[in-house]
Amino acid sequence: MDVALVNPVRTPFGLYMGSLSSLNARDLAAFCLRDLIAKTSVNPAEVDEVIAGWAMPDFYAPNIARVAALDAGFPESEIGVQLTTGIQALEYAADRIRAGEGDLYAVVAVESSSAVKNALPKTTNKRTLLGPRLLIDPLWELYKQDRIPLGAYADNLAEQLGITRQQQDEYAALSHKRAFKATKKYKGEFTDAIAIPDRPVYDGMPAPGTSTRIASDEGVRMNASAASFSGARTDERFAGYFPCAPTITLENSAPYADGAVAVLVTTPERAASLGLTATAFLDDIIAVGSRDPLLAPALALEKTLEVHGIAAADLTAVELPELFACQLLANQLVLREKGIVIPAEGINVNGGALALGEAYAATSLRMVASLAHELNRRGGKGIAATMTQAGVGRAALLRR
Amino acid sequence: MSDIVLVKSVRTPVGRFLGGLSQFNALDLGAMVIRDLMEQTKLDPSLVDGIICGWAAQDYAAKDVAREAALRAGLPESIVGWTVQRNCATGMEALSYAQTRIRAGKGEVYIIAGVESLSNVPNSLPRGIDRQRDLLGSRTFYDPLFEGLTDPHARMLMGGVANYMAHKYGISKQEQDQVALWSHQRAHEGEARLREEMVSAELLGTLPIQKDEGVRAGLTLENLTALQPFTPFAEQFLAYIREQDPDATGIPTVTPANASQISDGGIAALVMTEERAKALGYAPLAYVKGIDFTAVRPDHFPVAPAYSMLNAAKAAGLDLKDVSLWDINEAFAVVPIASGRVLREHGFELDLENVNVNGGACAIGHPLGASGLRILTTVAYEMQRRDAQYGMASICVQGGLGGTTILERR
Repeated sequence: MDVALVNPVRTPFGLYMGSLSSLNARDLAAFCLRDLIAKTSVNPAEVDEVIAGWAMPDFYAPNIARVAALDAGFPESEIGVQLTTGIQALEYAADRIRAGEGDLYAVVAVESSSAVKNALPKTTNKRTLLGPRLLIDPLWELYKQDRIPLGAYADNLAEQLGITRQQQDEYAALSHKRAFKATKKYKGEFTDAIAIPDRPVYDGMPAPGTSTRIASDEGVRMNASAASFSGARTDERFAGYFPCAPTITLENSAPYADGAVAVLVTTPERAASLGLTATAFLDDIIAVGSRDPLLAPALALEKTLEVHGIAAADLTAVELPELFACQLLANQLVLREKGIVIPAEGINVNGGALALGEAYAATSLRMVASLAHELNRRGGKGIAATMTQAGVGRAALLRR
Repeated sequence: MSDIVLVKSVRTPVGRFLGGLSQFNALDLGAMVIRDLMEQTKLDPSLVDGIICGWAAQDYAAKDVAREAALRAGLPESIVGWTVQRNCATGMEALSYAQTRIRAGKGEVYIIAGVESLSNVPNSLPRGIDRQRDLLGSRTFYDPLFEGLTDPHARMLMGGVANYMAHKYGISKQEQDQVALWSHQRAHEGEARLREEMVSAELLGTLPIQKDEGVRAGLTLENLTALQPFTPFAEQFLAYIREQDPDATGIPTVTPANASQISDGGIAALVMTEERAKALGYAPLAYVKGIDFTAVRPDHFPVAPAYSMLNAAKAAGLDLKDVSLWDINEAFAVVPIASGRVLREHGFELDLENVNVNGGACAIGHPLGASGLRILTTVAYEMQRRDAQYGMASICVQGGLGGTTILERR
């Protein structure tokens, strides 16, 4: 059965502790859902279910799908389920449609890095009753695999594959340039400007008066160049794990971000009956598990081509993760070694996380959304190969 | 469409809050039960098409507990997983999504699990971002668990809503205490039966507890009657009804003893298509006849199971009279009672004799993400003992949801 993606839309992405930091994930998800409903004119009562992806959940929104849906004006009969990341939420919706359990789903993916609280473990153990206790930053803990920060793996990967600092800086600058161009050109992909009340994330009551409006991605820099990045110091937090010369800097790695993405997932027949046009069609989502923390997207992309009998030359656009410039370049290299050559002009053509920021659950759905819009312009097939977590790559195969 | 069967389900004993299982976090519990399930079923790991694990109070202990627990349990690195969250119906959601995947043609063999370590939910401190406020002055540590037990829309603790429903349906404290007492008595008498759904004797022997820790053997009705209604529940409930009508009066009835306990626990189960079970030589524990999720108003969550049971029966083409065994999760003792009242309004008389026959969450405890799977497992094993044809497990969910699974024995 065909699965149609209708009108993917997202909030501008704010940087960690930046312009969106006075909102939390509940606010962002509700805002994005409300905008999706307004733009598609769908009656929320007709939506079979809202499905959310949220990688760093907190109990201020227990099952954020239902909480945000009710906030956004969905009826009380709306149920809602929460998964870990955006592409999983999309996969869940597609599975439900293919299983014949429904034909209209609203998928929302959200992350507010700024609202992730520090954590103090309870003293469940007598040994911790005496002595200092560590205040843990979950944001930092989730950035690790097997207790090693992903940045350390990236440093090591760059050394092993011979990816230079210069190449990384150049790619990072390219990501900014592309994102800057796309932001100006493709306004329709965004929610309306989001009004930010001037209050801290954890306070229920808005401060009176002030609010600012955010209309574009905060991380994108119009004057980015490799030269301007060359002076940045390498990131010391990644040193000492592997014997390698460090090349990862704050400039060639993705900053943490806040944001939300939403899309209607339906069948072509239902879309037609609602008077909606599909932006793109989702053929499949394929997940591959590996031990490698950064290269799983390439493996997922490879398997998708294999399963569906598609050649790399058939792809008009591809989205790959940019947690680090090195990650993108390394995935590209690995694919090339396997004989899968995707022209650089076809990868992340509207910029990626290096410029927009990494908003975990939201980023994987943003990549799918961005690809859907691009295919809508260019036609043909495309793959968004995302990195979910714990060494899993999930690739979405889309077509016009 | 091929039928889906539950082959085997294993769980840890349920530990009390900060009690016998508190040294294990959610990931530890998940890995433990999955490993035990694989050993007991002797399933070839390469046959597993995926793992779906529910975890309600998620923290930094794992990024994707489904995959991480599976890896730690020794499954191959190619295993992929999904972590699902639907509050108290989370464990049931794991079964539901496995069914969806199988129906969608995405594999035939799934491991499903539910984990919760409420003892290990860390306190949390917001990042200081308001310079004027946060650089000077005291800051508050949050308790996400407490926050999670508060409905974001009704703005009441779950216990406040339970009081509200007891008020609305005229359910006395004594009725609730009686159900709580049964729960403890039945769980105590059913200790050996509950043992059958637990992990292997070897593994159990290594754990700090060998039976459900919350069950109290010598409890009397007088013990329960003596307990006063829990003040925060009572205050929120009274404030809530006065919000709607300033002259309203109500009698608070919910005590810590006729509410479920805060718990730790893990459960894992093997589900597959009927054909595959036959081919692999497994005798089905039960067939999955139907799963339903229904949402009502957030301030009516204790009666949501009733609406969900009605919808589930309708969708499965069953009459509720055909069902002989029930588990309605005792998040509060008021839940099975109030749900029974709603079913009565719809022409069905629910006999509490057949509900939670081996005790419920008041005695056993309520490890949120595991409970949905725990109750349907308890029903499945009891159906086997009684050779019952149909059994129903229904759970109320924070936010106004009810989730129901109908099991069938053929």
